[in-house]
Amino acid sequence: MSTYEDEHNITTNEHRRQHETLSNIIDNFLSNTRTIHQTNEQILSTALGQLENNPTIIQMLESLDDKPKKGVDSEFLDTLERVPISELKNEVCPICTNKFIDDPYPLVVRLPCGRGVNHIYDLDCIGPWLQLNSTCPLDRIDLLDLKRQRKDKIQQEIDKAKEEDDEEEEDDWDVYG
Amino acid sequence: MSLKRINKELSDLGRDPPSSCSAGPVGDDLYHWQASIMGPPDSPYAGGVFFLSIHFPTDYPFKPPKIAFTTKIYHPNINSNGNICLDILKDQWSPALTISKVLLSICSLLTDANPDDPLVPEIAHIYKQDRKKYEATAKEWTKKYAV
Repeated sequence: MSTYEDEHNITTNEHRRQHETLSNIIDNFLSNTRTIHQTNEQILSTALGQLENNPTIIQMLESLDDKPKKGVDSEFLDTLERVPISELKNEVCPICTNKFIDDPYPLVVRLPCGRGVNHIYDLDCIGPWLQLNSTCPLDRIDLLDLKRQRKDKIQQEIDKAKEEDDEEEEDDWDVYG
Repeated sequence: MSLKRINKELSDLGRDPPSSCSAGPVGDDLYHWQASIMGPPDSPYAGGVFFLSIHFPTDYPFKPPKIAFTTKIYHPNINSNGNICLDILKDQWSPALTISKVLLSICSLLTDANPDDPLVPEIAHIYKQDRKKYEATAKEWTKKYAV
């Protein structure tokens, strides 16, 4: 029986070469994959490098930074102290820098920054700002923090008063007990 | 709102200009200005005139203007693209600030750099380690690019 090689008039050497070619292909494939990996890394680093200088990306990152700072809700704006027109003289709104009384019907509010502090603004000017950022533009006091602190203080005083009441009641028991 | 406020600032600048700076629109676009700052006399930038570009966002003054130096300057808080590391131009922006106030702040940044929050760490390092060398280089750059 003739061999496969004889019948097809080929030599084993050539046959072996085919195997070698196959292993070469695998080798090539594996080494190619390695180079692809390297190029991927290069592509990635180039892409990251480009991102660092991209204004859109910077803007997006900055806007992410802004997020934790919350603005106030419209209810907060509604409860701001109104300043009657009779109180207004030549003051200007720090945001639009126009005199309040230049408007025949000014809608002016005072921020609760503290006693004796007169940080007043056109409601139309301070509203959009406070909805972005809950700070007074003049002293950067966080009005939401301030509200929370005042609420806590009131709650503490209520609790204290309650405790005193309870003590008084106990004293009463002593008297009648 | 933004256009009205920008116009108001422009007329205020015309009426009562700050002593060491000037600013105004480049062309017809009121959202794009150019400004100039004189190097403060008590700084290595003395004698130089530095130009800056100002771009107002459409929601100005609720968002800060974008301001960058167009004149090359050697400073720990200003990089080679002219970008300025100044808190009031970023998270400390307030709508009560105006271009005039911001330019004055930039002037004082030129006199008193902030090497602990640098934009160019190499310059900040020299500023802290060898102040004379920093001043010499800053003077040299001023002469070369801003006179």
